[in-house]
Amino acid sequence: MTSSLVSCYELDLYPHDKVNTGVFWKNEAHVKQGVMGVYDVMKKKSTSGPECGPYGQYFMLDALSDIAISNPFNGLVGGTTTDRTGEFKNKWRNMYDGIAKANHALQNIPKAEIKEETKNQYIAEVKFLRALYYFHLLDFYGGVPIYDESWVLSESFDKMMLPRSSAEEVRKFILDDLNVAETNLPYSWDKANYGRATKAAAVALRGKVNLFAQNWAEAKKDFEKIVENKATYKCDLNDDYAELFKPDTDENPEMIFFISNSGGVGDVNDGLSMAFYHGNGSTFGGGWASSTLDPDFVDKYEMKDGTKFDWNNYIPGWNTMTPDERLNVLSATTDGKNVIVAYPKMKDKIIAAYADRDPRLNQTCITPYSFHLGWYANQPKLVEHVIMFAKGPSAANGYMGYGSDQKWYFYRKFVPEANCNGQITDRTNTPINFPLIRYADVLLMLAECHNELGDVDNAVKYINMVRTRKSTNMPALNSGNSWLEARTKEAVRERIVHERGVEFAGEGLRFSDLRRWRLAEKYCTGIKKTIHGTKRQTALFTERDYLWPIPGEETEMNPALLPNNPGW
Amino acid sequence: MGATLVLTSVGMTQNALAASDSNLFRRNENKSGSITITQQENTTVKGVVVDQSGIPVIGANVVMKGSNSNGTITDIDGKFSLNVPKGAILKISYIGYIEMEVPVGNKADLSITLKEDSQALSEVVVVGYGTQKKVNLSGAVATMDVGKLAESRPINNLSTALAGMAAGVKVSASKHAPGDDGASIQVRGQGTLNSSSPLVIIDGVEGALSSVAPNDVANISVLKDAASASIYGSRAANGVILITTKKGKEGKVKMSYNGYFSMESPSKMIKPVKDYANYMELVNEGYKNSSMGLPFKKESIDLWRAHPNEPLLYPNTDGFDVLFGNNVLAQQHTLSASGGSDKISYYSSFTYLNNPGVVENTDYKRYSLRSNIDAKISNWLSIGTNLSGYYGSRNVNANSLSDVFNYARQTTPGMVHRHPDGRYGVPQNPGDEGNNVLSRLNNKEGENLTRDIRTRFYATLNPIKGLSFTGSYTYNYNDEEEWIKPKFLSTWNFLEDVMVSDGVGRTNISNETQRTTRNFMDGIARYENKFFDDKFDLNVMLGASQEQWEERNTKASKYDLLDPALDVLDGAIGDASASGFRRGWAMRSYFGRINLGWDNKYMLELNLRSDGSSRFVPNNRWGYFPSASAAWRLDQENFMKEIDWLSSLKVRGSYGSLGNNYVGNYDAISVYEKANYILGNGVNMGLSQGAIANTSLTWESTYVANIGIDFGFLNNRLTGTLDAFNKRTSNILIALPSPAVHGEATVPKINSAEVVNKGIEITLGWQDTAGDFSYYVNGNITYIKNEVTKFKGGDRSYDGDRFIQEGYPINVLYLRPTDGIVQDQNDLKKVQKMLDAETALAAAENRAPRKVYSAGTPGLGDILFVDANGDGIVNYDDRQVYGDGQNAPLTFGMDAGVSWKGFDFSVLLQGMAGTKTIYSGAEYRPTVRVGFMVNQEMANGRWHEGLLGADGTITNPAKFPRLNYETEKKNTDASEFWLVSQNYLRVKNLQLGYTLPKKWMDVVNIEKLRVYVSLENYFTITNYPGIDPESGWGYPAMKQASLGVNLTF
Repeated sequence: MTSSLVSCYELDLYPHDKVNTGVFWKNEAHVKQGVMGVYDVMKKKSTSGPECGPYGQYFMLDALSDIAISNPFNGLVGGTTTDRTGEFKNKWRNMYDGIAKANHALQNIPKAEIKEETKNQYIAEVKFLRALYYFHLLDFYGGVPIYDESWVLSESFDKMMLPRSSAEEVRKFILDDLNVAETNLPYSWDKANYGRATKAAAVALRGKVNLFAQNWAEAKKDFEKIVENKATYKCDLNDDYAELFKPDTDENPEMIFFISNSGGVGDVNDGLSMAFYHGNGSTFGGGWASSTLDPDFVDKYEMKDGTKFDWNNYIPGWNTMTPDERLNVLSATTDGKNVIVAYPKMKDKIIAAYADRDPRLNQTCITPYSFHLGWYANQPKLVEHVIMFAKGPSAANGYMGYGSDQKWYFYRKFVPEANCNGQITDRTNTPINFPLIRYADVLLMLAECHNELGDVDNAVKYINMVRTRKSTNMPALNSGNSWLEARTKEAVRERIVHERGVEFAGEGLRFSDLRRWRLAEKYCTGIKKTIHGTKRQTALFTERDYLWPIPGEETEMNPALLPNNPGW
Repeated sequence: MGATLVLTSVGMTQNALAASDSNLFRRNENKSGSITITQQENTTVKGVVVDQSGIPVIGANVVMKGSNSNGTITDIDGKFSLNVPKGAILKISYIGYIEMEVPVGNKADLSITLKEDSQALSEVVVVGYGTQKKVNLSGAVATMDVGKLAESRPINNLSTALAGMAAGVKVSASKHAPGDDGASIQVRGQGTLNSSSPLVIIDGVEGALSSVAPNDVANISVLKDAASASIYGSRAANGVILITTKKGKEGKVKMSYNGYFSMESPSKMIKPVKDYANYMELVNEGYKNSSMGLPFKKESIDLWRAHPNEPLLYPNTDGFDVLFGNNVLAQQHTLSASGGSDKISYYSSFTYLNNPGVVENTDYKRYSLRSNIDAKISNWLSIGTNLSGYYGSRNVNANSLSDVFNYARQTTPGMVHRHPDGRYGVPQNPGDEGNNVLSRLNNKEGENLTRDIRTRFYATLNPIKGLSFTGSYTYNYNDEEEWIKPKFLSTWNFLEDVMVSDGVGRTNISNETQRTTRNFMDGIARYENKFFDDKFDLNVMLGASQEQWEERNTKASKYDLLDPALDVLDGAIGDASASGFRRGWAMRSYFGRINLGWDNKYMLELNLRSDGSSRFVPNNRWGYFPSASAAWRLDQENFMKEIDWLSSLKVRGSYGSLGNNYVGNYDAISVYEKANYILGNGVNMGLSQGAIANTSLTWESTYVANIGIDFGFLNNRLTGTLDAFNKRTSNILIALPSPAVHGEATVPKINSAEVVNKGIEITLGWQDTAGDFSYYVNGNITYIKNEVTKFKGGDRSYDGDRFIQEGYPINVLYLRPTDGIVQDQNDLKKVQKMLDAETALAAAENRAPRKVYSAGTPGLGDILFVDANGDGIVNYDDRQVYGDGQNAPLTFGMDAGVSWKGFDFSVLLQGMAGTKTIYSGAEYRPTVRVGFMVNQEMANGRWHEGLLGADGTITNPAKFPRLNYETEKKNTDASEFWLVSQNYLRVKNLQLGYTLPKKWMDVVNIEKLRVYVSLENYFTITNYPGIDPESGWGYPAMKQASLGVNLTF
C-alpha cells in the first residue's frame, strides 16, 4: 500500500466478481451461459420454508390436493387466503423472472457471432422455457399480461403496466413459441448436455397445453406423435418405477423434461429441497416432513389384484374404531427409554395391508413397519417406521421418525437413501432430477384424449401401458375381472383420475389436474388426518380457488390488471 | 451543546482551547477605568489557585491588573508567587473558568477558588478542517463534552453516549449485544430514503464511532447545517460528527485511571406462559379454535398438574429466564498518561473492556491502545502522529444470538434446557416440540478476532506568520478473522431417562477473513490575518484530499476433520468449498473556505467542495457543494451593551448544499452474475442479469436553510440556542416501485424522490452557584416534520404495512381499520348486518353476492375489521393512513446536576414522542403452535368462551382476540388493532459521585480521586408493549448498576 501514498487513487473501478455486460453475448460460450441462466430459474426455491410459490418447490403443490398434507399450508388449504397471500406473489414473480430472462436472451442471441443453425437452436430452447413459464402462469392465474422480447428490462422495468391478455391469447403465444421450439430443437443431446430441452419436450408440452384447454384432437396429435415414434424421440417407459426417483437411475428415457439436479458443497446450489421437505427425521441432514401423504389417498392404492382396499379386511372393525382404538392397534409397546419391547399384536396384518397393494404405494411412501435407509452418525442406518404412543423414536434406536408425530405416511419418493453414495452434502440440494413431463404422463394424457373423443378402447390401452409397467404389474383394465371393467367414458375418466393420482403422487401435477377437471371442490375439501384418524388439517376449496388471484400488490401498482379473477 | 458544562481539569484539549481571549468576559470589562499604578512599595504575594473541588489549577494566569507584563502562571501545585505593589489587583484566569479579580490587600497568602465557567464563551469549537471560536460561529454546530460521560458511565460504545445530549441529534440505542452494540444516529431527521447515518470523522478521517475508546475522546462536534457540513461535501447530507481525541499538554506528567464494574440485567423481557399444564391447555384451545386436532392429551396435562415441584422431571420453564441466565459483571478500565514540554507533547492510553453478556457464551473482550504525539521541530515546522488500534475477541457462539432469540420464542415450558449435571434436554412430554436455547449456545467452537490499526501522520509548515500548510496521510487496516467448527452435543429426555440424540455429526471447519483498508491523504493551506486596526479578520483555507477504501473477503470450509480436535483446513480431508469477494470505492475532493469578520460583530463564511466518486461513471462523477453563512453578534453593538441582564446575543443564518452517494459501489455498471445449471451431472456456468444498471446515476443533493439565535442572560446563567431549519433532499437515490413482472433482477436506484424536513431545535441551560452549592439544568427539544415532496407522481411504494408517497411522511403506516373484537352476540350482529346488506344488494342488482370479509367472516373472538370506504366489503381497499411515519417528530433530552462540597449528583433523561408502529412480533401474538411460546399477557387477555355469560353477552370484554393456530393470520396481520405508541421517556443515567478532599489526597500524592455509583437505563416510562421502544426484537437494552473510580495522579 505504500504506492498509495504517492499515487492518485483510481476512480474508474469495476466489480471483481461479475461480468461486464458490454463484453457479453459475443460467442457461443456466452450464449450458452446466458441460456443456462434461463434454465436456472426453474430451480428457484424459497429459503424461508416449504412454500409452494417458487417453481423449484413444484413437488410441494401436491399438499394442496388430495395427495398430501402440509401443516405449513393450513392457510392456503383452509380457504383463508387473500390476494396478499405470499405464495400467490412469489409464483407470479418467479414465473415472470423466467420470462424476463428468456426475453433478455432472445434480444441478445441474434447479436452473437455464431452459426445461424446454432443460433436457432438456442432460440428454440429459450422459447421452450418461456412457454413453460407462461403455461404455469396460465394454469394458475388464467389470462396474464404478455411481455415478449420487445421489452428491454433496463429501459422499461418500471413501465410494465400491460393489462391482462385473455387465456386464449396467452395460449396462442405459448403454442407459437412451442412450434418454433419443435422445429429447431434436437431429438436428443450428448451426455454432457443431457437435460436441455428436446423436440419431445416441446411436443409433449404443446400437447399438454392443448389438453388443458380441452383441445382434445390437437393434444392427441402431439401425444401420438411421440408414442408412435418413441424411438425417434428417444423416450420410453422405464421398466422400474422406483428407479425414476433415485439419483443413479434418474437419467432415463422416461424423463421427457425435468429439472436437472446434483448435490452441492457449500455455496454450490444445484439441487432442490426434496430431502428437506419430503424427507423424515432420519433423512440425510434431517428432513422436516413438511409434506406427507394423506391417509385417505394412501387407502386409494388398489390391492394387487385391482380390487379396492379395505382396512376391515386386515383389522376387523377398523372402519368404526375411534382414533385411540386404532392407535392401540397400530402401536408398538416401548419401555421408558423408547426401546420397543413388543411390536403390535397385529404387526403382520399391518405390514400385509400395505404389502398386498399396488407396488407404487411402497415405492412412493414409507408405510408403518417398513424400512428406510437413513443416515445417522455419519453412517447409513436402516431405520424402521414404527408407530408409538409417545414420540421419541430415534435413529439411534433404529426407528424412523419426525419430531412430534411419527403417525404419518412419509414420502419415499425423491427422498435420498443414506447419503446417495456421497452425492448429497446438504438437505436443500437433493441430487435427484425432478420430472416435469414423463413418458407415463404422455401415455395417460393420450388416454384421456382418446376417452374424451369417445374412443374408450384406445384410452384403456394407454392406461394399461402404465398399469402394466414391469415393476407395477397391475392387472390391465377390461382384462376379465368385474372390478377391472371400464367401458364407458365416465368409467374411464374415473380410472384416469385414479391412475394419474397414484402414478404421479409427489410430483406436483395433481392440483392442476383436479382444477382442470373441475373436481377440486370435491377432492380438495375435507378433514385431513393422521394414520389413526386424528385431525391434522381442514381443507376447503371453493369456486374462487380454481384460479389464484393476481397478487394484490401487483394490482395496486398496475390497476390495468383488474378486474381480478372471480371471487377475489 | 447541552453538555459543555462541567469541565473537568483532566484531559481538556488545551491545544484546541489555547486561544483564550479575555475580552470575551464582559462581566470583567472595565476598560475605561484603568488603574494608574503609582510607584509604591512592592510586596511578594503568594497564593494557591484551586477549583471548586479543591484541586489545584495548574498553569493559571496570574497577572497584575493594568500591567500585562507583570504576571506568572501557577505551578503543579497551583501555587504562585508574584512581586506586586501593595494594593494591586490580581487577575486570575484559566481556560474554562470565570476570570477573577482579587485585591492583594495586606494578605501575603491568598487562597483563590476559581469557578468553572460552564458556558465557556471562550470555547473553541472544532469544525471541518479547523477550529473556530464558538462566539464567532455562523453555522449550526452542537458540541458535546463526552469527557465526563465517558469517565463515569458504563459506556462500551461511544454512540450510546450521545443520546439526549444535543438538539437535533437523535440517538436510538439499537444494538446491545457485547461487541456488537451501538446506536443509530440521525441528525435533523431522516433526510433521505437511503441510509441516514451521519458521516463520522475521527481526527480528520472517516471512521466508525465504535472504534474509539470513549475515554480517549477530547470533544465532539456535530455539524448540522449545510454551512458547517458542506466542507465534507458529498457525504455530509446526514450531518457530520467530528471526533477529536485527546492530546498531551505542556506540564507535569499526569496519570489517570478511570474504571468501572457494572452489574447487567435485561431492562425488560417478555413473559411467556411458564406453567406447562396451563400452556398445554392454551395450545389445545388454539388448535380447537382453528378446527384442528388437539395436540396435548388430558393425561399429560393432569400428569404435570400432579407433579408441581419436580423441575427436572416435570419442568415449567421460562425460555427467556434460561436465555438470560448469565450473571454478568462487565468492566472497563482505562489507564492514560499525558504530558509534554514546550517541544513535544503526548497522550497515551490503554483500555480494557470485558463484557461477558447476559446470554451465556456471548462474551466480548477488547484491548485498545492510543498514542497521540505532537512535536514542534522548529518555529516553522511541527509534526504529529495519531496511532490507535484495538484487538477484539468475540465468542463465536454469539453468531447464534438471533437464533437463540427465536429459540426462546420457539420452545416449550415442558423442557429442561440443561440438567445440573451438564446434559442438554429435549421436551419431556411425548408429542411436544421445542428448541434448546442452551445447546444452541454451546454447539460451536472457534474464535472471532478483530484487529484494527489506524495510523496518521501530519506535518505543518509555517513559512510566514498567518500562513500554514498541513499535509496528512492516514492508513487504516481492519482485519476480522473467524474460524468455526461444530461441537456435537447429545440430548436427553430426563423424564424417560433416555438419550434422544447422541452427539455425533459430520465434522467440518470453516475459516473466514475479511480485510478492510483505507488510505486517506490531504493537503491544506491556511492563511489568517487581521487588517484595518485588527478590525477585519480574514481566514482562508484551501485543500485537496483523496481517499480509497477496499474490502477483501475469503472464506473456505472443509468437511471431515482427521481428528475432531484439529482446527485448520489442512486438518480436514473431505468436501471443500470456497468463496470470496473484493469491493471498494475511491474519491477525490477539492475544497475551500473563506471566513470574513468585522470588529467581532459581523461574520461571513463561504464554503465550496467538489467531490469525484468511483461509484458514478465519468460523465456524472463530479458533484459541487457550496454554502454560505453569516452571523451578527448583537451583544457587541454599543446600543446593546447597556442592557444589564443580557450577556450575549447572536443571530445567524446559513444556506447551502450537501450530497449523498449512497448507492452500491458498482450500481452504475451493467453486469451479469452467476446462475449455474446442471447438465448431465456437471455444473454448467450460467449467467443472468441479477441487477439492472442505471448509468445515469448521480449525486443526491440536500439543501439546508438554517436560522438561529444564541443567547446568554443574567451573567450567562441562562443560556440557550434556537434553530429553525428547512432541509430539502432532492435527486434521492431510490429503487422505484416496479411491478413484479420485471422479475427478480434488482431494480436500479434512480435519482428521483425529494424529501423535506422542517424543524425547530431549542436548547436551554441554567446554571448557578450558591456558596458551596452549584447546580445546572440543560434541556433540548427538537421538532421535525418530515414529508416526501416528490415521488414518481402519485405512485406509492409499499413495504409491508407502510408506504412511501408524495405528500406523506416517509414510510407512513397504512392499515386496515378495526373496531375491536367481536366480543359477543351483540357484536356478531354487526357482522351479520354487513352480510345481510350484501345479500340484499346482490338480490336487488341481480348478481351473486360478493365475499364480504376477504380474510374470512369474523366469529366470536376475532378482530372486527371495518368497511371504511363503505363499498360493502371489508378488504385491503379499506386501509387508511396512521401516524406520522417511522420517525418521531419530537425528540428531547435533559441533563441536570448538583454538586456540594465533594459530592455530585446528576441525571440524564431522553425520550421521543409522536410516533406509532405496529407491534405484533412472534412473541406478542394470540396464536399457538406446538413448540412455540404463548405470551402470558395474551393468555390473560384473550377472548375465550368462558368470558360469555349465560345470556351470551360479555361483561368483561377481552383485550386480545381468541387463540388460533399459528398460520391463521386473520387476527395477527397488521391492522389498526396492533397499532402502538412508541413514545417514551427514559432515565438514561442517574449518578452519585464523591470526590475525596484534597487534603487527604495530598498525603498520598494523588491529585484527584472520585468514586461514583451509577444506574443506567433503570427507569423508562412508555406504553410500548415490546421489550424496548428504541430497538426492535433482539438483545435488549441493559440495566446497569455500576461502581466506578476516577483517579488522577
